[in-house]
Order: sequence, then structure tokens, then C-alpha cells
Amino acid sequence: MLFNSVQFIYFFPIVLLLYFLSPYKWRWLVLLISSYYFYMSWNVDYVFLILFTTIISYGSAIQIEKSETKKTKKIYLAFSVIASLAVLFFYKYFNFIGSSLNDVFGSFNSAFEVPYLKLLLPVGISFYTFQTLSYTIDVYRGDIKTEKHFGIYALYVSFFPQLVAGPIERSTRLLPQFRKKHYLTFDNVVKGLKWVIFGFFMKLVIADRLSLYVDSVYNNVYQHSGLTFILATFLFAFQIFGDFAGYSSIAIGVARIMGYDLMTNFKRPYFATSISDFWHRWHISLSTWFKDYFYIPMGGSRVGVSRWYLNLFLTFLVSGLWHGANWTFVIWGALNGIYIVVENIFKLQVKKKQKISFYNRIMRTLIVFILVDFAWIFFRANNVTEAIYVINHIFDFSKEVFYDNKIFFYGIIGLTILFVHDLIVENTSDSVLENSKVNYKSVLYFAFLICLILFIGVFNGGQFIYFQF
Amino acid sequence: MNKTYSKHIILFLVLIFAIDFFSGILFSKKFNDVKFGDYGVINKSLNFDAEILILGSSRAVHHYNSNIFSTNLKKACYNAGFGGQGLFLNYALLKESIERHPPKVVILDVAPNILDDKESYSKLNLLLPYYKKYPSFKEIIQLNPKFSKLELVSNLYIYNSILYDVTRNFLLKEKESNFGFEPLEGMLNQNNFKPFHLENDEIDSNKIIYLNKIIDLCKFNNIRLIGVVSPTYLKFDKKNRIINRLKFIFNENKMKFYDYSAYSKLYQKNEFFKDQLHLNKIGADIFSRDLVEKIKL
Repeated sequence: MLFNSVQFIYFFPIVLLLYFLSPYKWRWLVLLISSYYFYMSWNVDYVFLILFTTIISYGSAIQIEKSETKKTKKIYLAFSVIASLAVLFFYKYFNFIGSSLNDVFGSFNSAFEVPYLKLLLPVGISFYTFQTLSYTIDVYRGDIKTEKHFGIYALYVSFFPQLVAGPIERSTRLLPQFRKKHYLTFDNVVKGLKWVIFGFFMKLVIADRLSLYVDSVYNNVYQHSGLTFILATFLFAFQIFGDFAGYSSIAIGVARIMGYDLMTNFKRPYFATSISDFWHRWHISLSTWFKDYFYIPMGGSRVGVSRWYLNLFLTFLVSGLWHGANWTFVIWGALNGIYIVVENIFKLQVKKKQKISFYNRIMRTLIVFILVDFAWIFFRANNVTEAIYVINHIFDFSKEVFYDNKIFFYGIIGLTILFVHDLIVENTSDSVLENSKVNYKSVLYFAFLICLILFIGVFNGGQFIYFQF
Repeated sequence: MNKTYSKHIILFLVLIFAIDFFSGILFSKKFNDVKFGDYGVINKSLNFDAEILILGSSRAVHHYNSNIFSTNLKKACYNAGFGGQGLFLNYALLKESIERHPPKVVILDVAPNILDDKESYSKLNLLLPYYKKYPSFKEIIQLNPKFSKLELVSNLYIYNSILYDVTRNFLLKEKESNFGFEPLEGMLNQNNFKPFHLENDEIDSNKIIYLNKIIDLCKFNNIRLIGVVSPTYLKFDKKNRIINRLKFIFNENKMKFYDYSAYSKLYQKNEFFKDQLHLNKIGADIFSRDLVEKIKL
């Protein structure tokens, strides 16, 4: 079920009503059933996978806590991690690894061939797998006590607002919230609705509109060149931002209405003044996940310099692979890894309290945007060959420029509003989304956004990009 | 909830309803005058009293030069083809044309994917502004399984994405003299070839129903209906079950059916095509002249 579907318009108020009308002790059940229903609306069969991952991590965590020796704890942790990752690898990476191996075998004229399996990637599998991994690791580290109530734990894994595309929540933050009694308060509803409205604006007015242009270019790269590629790549930066940040905003808003507090996933990433600043603002829940459960366990920065650079690079490489089973994502991750290593070698970041001139800031923001946007070429291209074709022809102006005034017209309206909104928040730190203030200004702003969504939003744009991950 | 909050909520709702209500009034008036974009095409198709009406999808729009038909057959011709839409919109346009001014001849361009194009359902939402005014549009919009009457609650939603066309209408003057025909310039570049398959596609029963409805409308109103598969660059299997099915339906109803898919004058000649499925202006003119001769006979 998509947030931007008619189904959800009926689903959410019913869930909300049932949730707040139910006695406190049964509320978890209302949410659990709703979450499983939400997930099953994609594919009933894949509910067994989420259930499997839930049972494995739940059982392992209890065994970890019960175990008295470090060795036994480690065995249970390894079992849980391997079992959860095995499901993820099988569904997400089997065909990718198979076809890559077949290419290698083919180059040696080997007759051996890894079979191609007809597998449909379960929606949100990377997100809930990471959420369960963080839980078992936290239990192993002693950062959190195990959740004995299987229903509540299952709800932690499947909580519908963030189930399919995050934010990837930590057990330490989310689990205690399921034990808390929530009330339908005016503040929560106002704050939640603001996030939801802004999320829909980003998704329907910006992302889905820009995708009309970006898709028609990137799905037919051999028919285009030059300025068309520059335009499509520029617009894709905002399409992916609108799509993913839009989803996160709606998730945060929906959860907030019910009284739950999900972590902020995006903080105006294209205002970043360095690559590391960008990764502190983009998909924060994933970046911090990788930092806590991959980068730091590998030694982080508390190792020799060359090992530190390697840790940084590997973290981004694996993060690229997390996004998708395709070499394009691996290269995208590697590129970002190279950026971050180079930035650290030359110490190009702006320090926390360091003041920089307006001109310096603009130049930095521009350079970071260009670098990030260049990497997006690999993220968006259908395969590596096409990505390289785009790069090779980005300054080839021999072909006619493909333009669609209608898309540009609506795109400019949406992007201007987003730019002004983010610019104000960036410079005043007063986010209209973060507070529950209701005044004439916010009433006007959100009424205007709703009208704009209805009037120029794209309503058949389909699903969110990050669902495929 | 205190008094100030209630005041703000009421203001919020009133604002949305007021904007929505007045937009409805404004755009329902401005909408009928739109001469550009998708709505411009439909508006003109609905208001032109054609004696020869050409129906179909983008292949109709780009393949049939209305002026060649009008000049040679001495009858007012309008090309009401519409890119991305198929038999459903063709039916609604024909039905409304008959109500106002029945055409004498209808040429229905049947694209190779006319019976299996699943995307055509989601595209029906584009027609929402016509829902209340034209019963036949209402009928076809409801074919979209995702359609919900909830979509009719907001005027802003009904007139979604019309702002650009209205703005153009306000700023630009119409120069059109092609009567719906949109010639394509340029030539097919073989390097851009991306072959696709038309075989073994499932036939959508709704499409068959609406093809029969078009045939029945023509029969009942004594309109000469001609089915045409216009030229394609692609090697096109004559045994394709969709074309055979179409041929059978037209023959069964004693209607003419011409298959130009592998027309020797144009077949696989780059200079007459813009892409694999669409003729360029030169190709369209040759095809239109030859079809006129055939119809005359």
C-alpha cells in the first residue's frame, strides 16, 4: 500500500480510530495487525519472510541475554546476523552475484552457469533486516534489554509508517515507545499533519513531476546527449531527494499523529558544504547505522591513517551495495567513498564553529552538489554501460535538446518553494515542521501547500524509489 | 483545544474550501477555451463539426494529414487522434460528435497494441474535467479500476495540471491550420533502435467491448467506418493475433479494414519514419494521399 494511494486515505484514519479507541493493553495488537495488513497489500507471501527474520532475531536476542559466556553470546549473535543476512542476500543479491559470476566464467569459456532465479524483491527487506540487526547487536552489546513480548518486538520490526523505506529506527529509540501510552493530542496531530503535507508536496509536486523528464531521458540514453543529460541529471538530484525525503516526512508525520517520534532522516542535504556534511544530512538513519554497526566496529578513525581511509571507503562501498544489487550502486558507493577519503586527506571539511564567508559557502555548496550529482548518474542509470555513455556524452552537444516545457514549468514552481523553505530553515533553524506552533503564517502556508498538491501534483506517479531497496 | 486553535483550524479549512471552490468556478470557464496541450486537442475535437473524423492514438495524430483528406474528398476532416489514449477515448469522442454533428466517415487507426495497452486505464484520469459535462466521458473514466469518486470532491484535483495550458492560452495565439494532424519532422536514426515485441500479448476484453461499441454507433448512425493499420517501420508479423482479431471483427461487421503495416512504398525506409512506430511528415503525406485514393474507390 502506497502512502500516495486512495487505499491509504481509508486505511490510516481507520487505524487511527481503532488505535485510540482500543484499551491501552491491546493497542500494540491493533498496530501489529495494521502493519502486517499494510505489508501484505504488496505481496501476501513475503509476510513469511518478515516473520522469519522477526522470529530469528527475537529468539537469538533472548538467547544472547541468557548466555553467560561471551563465546555463546557471540554464537547466537552470529547465527542471527547470518540468518537475517542470508534471506537478504538470497532475495536481493543471488541473481546479481550469479550473473557477475557467469560473466567471469564466460570470459574463461567455462560452460558452468549459475542459474537465474525468478525472484521478486520483497519490499523494504533491506530496511527491516537492518532494523533487526541493530536490535540483536544492541542486545549483544548490552545497550538494551531484550524485548520479551513477541508481539511488541514484531511491531518494532514491522511498524507500518517506516516499514518499507525507513527511517531505519534503533531499538533503543523505538521499542520503549511501544510501551508508552500515547494520546491523540492537538500538538501531535498538528505536527504530524505538517510533516505529512510537506512529504506529499515533495513526492507529488517535485519528485513525480521531475521523474517524467528524468525517466524519459535515462530510459532512452542513446537518443540523447549534452544538455539533455545535464538537465536530467540535475533534475534527478531533486527527484530522488523529493521522493525519499518525501517518504520519510510522511512516515514521520503519520507516526507523530499516533504519538510516535521517528528520527529525522534528511536535513537540507543540498546545502551541505562538504561531502561529510552531506552524509550528515542525507538518509541520516542509514548513515548513522553504518557508522555504529560497520564503521566503528572496524576501528573507525581510531586506527592507523591508511586503515582509517580504508574503513571510510569500505563503509561507503557496502552502503552502495545495500542500495541495490547492481554494479551501478557499487560504483556510486565507491565514488562517495573516494570523495570522503580525498576530503579527509586534504582536510576540506568546515569545522563545527568555523565561520566561512558567504562566497566560500556558495562555492562549497556548488562543488558538493556537482560531485554528489555526478555520482547520482550511476545511481540512476539502468546499467554501468549506460552510465558511462551518459558521462561520455555529457559535453556532446550534437543531438537536439529534449525539453518539456510543461514539466519545467511545474518543476520550477515546486523547486522554488522547496528552495525558499529550506533556505529559511537553514538560516533561521526555525523549522515550521519541527514545531507545533499554529499561527496565521503556518495556516496560510499549509493550506497553500495542500491546494498546490491537488492542483499541480502528479497523482499517478507510482511508488517510491527507495521501495526497491 | 483552546479558542485560538479552533479559530486557526476553521480558517485553515475555510481557506482550502474557498480556494478549491473559486478555482472550480474559474477553471470550469477557462477550461473550455484551452487550445493548447492535451485538453486543447480534446476541446477542439469536441467542438469541430467534422464530416471525416479520424480516431486513434499517437499514430493517428502523426499519420493522417487532415488537409489532404479535406481537399481530396471535399469534406471537412478533423484528426481527433490522441497520444497515449486508445479505444476508450475514441468511443467517447465519437459519441459526443454524433450527439452534436454526426460525421459521414470515421477512420479508426488501429495501432498494433490497441487491444492490449494496459497503461491506457491509468491515463483515463486525464479526462476528469469532462466527467460532469459528458456522460460518455463519465462512462470511460469509470473503467479505470483505480478511479474513486473521492477524486471528484476537489475542483483543484479535477483541473490538476491545467495551469500550464491555461497560461499558454493566455500568452500565446493559436496558429494551427492542421486540424488535429501533428506532423513529425526528422528521420529515423537506426542507432536509436530499441526493438519491442508485439506478439503474444493478452487481449483486453474491455477493448473489444469498446471497439464493438464504436462499430455499433457507426452502424446505427449510418457512418462509414474504416479500420486502418497505418505503416510501421518494424517488421510486423502478419499473423499477429491482435491484427487478425481486428480484421475478423471489421469483416464480420462488413466494415472495410486496410492493413498498411508493411506498406511497400514506406516499409523499412528510414526517410519516411521518425521512429519505429511513427511516420514523419513526408511519410504521413504519402500515406494520407494513398489512403484517400483507396477510400475514394
